[in-house]
Amino acid sequence: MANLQPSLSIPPSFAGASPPSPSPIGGGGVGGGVGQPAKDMKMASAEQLVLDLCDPELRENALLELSKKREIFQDLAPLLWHSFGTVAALLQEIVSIYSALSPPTLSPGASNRVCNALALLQCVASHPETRILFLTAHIPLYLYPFLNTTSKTRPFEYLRLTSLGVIGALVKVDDTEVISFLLQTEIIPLCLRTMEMGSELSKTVATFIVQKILLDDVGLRYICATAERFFAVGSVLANMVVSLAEQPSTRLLKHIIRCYLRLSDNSRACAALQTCLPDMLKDGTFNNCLRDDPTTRRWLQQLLLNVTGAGMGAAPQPGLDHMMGI
Amino acid sequence: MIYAEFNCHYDLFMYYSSCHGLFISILFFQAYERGLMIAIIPFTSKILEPCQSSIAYRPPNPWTMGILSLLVEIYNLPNLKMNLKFDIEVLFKNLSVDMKDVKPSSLLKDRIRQIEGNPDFSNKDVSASQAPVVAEVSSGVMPTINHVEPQPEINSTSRATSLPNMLSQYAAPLRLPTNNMVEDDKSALIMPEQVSSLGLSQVSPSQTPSLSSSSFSLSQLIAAIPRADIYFRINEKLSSFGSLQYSKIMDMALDKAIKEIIGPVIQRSVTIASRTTKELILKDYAMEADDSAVSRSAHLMVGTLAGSLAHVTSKEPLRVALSSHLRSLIQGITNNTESTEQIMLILVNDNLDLGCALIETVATRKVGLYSLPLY
Repeated sequence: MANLQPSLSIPPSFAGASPPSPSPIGGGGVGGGVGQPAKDMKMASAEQLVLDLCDPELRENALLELSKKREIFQDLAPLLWHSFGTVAALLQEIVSIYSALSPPTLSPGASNRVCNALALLQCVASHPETRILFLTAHIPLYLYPFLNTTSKTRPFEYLRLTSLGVIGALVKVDDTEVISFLLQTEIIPLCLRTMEMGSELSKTVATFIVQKILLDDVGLRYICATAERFFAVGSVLANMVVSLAEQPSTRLLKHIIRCYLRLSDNSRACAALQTCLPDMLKDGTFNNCLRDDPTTRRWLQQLLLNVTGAGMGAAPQPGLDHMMGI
Repeated sequence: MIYAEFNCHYDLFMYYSSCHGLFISILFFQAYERGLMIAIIPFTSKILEPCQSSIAYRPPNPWTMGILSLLVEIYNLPNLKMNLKFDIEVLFKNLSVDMKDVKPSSLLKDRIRQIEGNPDFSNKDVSASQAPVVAEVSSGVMPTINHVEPQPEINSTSRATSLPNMLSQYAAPLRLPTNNMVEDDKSALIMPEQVSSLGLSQVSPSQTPSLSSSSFSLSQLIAAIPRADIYFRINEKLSSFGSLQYSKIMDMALDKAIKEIIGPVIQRSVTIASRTTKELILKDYAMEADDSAVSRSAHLMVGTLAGSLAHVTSKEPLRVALSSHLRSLIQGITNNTESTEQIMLILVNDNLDLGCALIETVATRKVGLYSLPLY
């Protein structure tokens, strides 16, 4: 009975994984015996799945399994990058669906498959050891065609969201080298496109990326370098504010306000915001949304103070006096 | 007067050449390492021969003497082939310079040359100190071995192959193992054909496949024509050969549109694909000793990536350019704006993928001509 019980308990813990080979358990404690084989099989599974990525017959299943377990395998990224042919296989998955982008014929199955590959690339983009190597090889550029799509169907929406996730993983660490790469390769217009017409989730990730770019000094200078760039960003943000009034989203509003606040750090942008900052941010339209978010409320107050302060410096106006009176 | 004019032009030529003296030195270094001196030495001899008549460049001009020093060093290399020695001797004689008076350079000592299959050196040991008179006597004694007549033929052959070899030199500055020499020569010979093929791919494929595709879309054009026929009975005459006219229009428009957008698309795609391929191939093949396997994988990968990127990035620009050209061409044969747009849309939707496929083909071939900086 004691021997039967441990062998029965092994299969449930590896549901969906490769079946464990029966291993005799000696006189050691039952708990210790179960733990060690489990760990070994888990590690073997990760490495075997990475090897399977190079075999076209096994790749789809390997993509699915690795994608599901990428949170468990802490060092998956170095394993993916430094193993033979793995990144090339992921690239092949990406370029093989280019023909389905236009005319838009991407199927849910194909979308899921390539998004699993993108999820693995997101691991590589996140890991400190592999992030710069990932950039040096210009891998993000192969995702830009996905961000350029405009189809509203679910497979395309999922594709864009996952692609943005990879870019988002790159910008999370506030690395100037990353920001410079993204600016040189013109990620901004692609993010603005998604901010204009994406789903709420895609808009949120795209706005987060723009926010991170703005928070970097190089990024702020880049966007405020020309009136064209500033108004391109400003008008998209303004349109998002208008649509938010109808479909509130606290998380998205938070990123929008943070973008505006950062823009007001640039003197010329701050002057321009005096005229083009949406009224809805001034008249209390979003007070209910921000009731439970003191951080964003503080940002908004700082933003209004920055814009108002610059206005006073220029010339007093009746409108401003009226606001101060309140 | 003619002589003076020739001399002046020659000096200009030599002046420009001497400004790129390092270039010629590099030529020699690469030729020495890769077994291409059979081309470079006759080439250099032809350049230096008229130095005797040049006021500025005749010996002891430093630039000229520098090259002669290098040639003496080459002349003294063990097992150097007789035809190369002969070329060097003839050059010195024409310049009235005694080889003994020129101190040999020492630029080649640290360089490693290919031994197996190297056409510059013979396997048997030939004494370098053999006197010219003795050489002539030997030639007379053993005509079947040292027949003088084959030498001009050898020189002619080396001149004929010098261009492909030199192209190969710049197109593929990789250091390839000796067992790939044949493959490398083959690649060199293919080079001119590839260049020609690249030119053809921009012209010929856009015509032949276009006609084929237009034939495919003829049925849809016929479906569209009755509408025009209903509106403009005057066009009954045109509709009888309108299909052919639309084929010609499609051909012209696609050709113009592709030429308009192909430059930046190809450049961007090839640049990105080359960078990615370099990083990934160097990573994956870090432990690979077989250079041909590395090169094969690199070219396969870079071609696929460049082609895919070119295809996907050219689609919208090509649609815009094609629509514009079709609109203006169709307007030439019809006054109705609505039917112009309809005909244009039909033609664009039916032929856009063809245009993108042509650009993809160009990108895939184009990237093969670039030398990947793997080393």
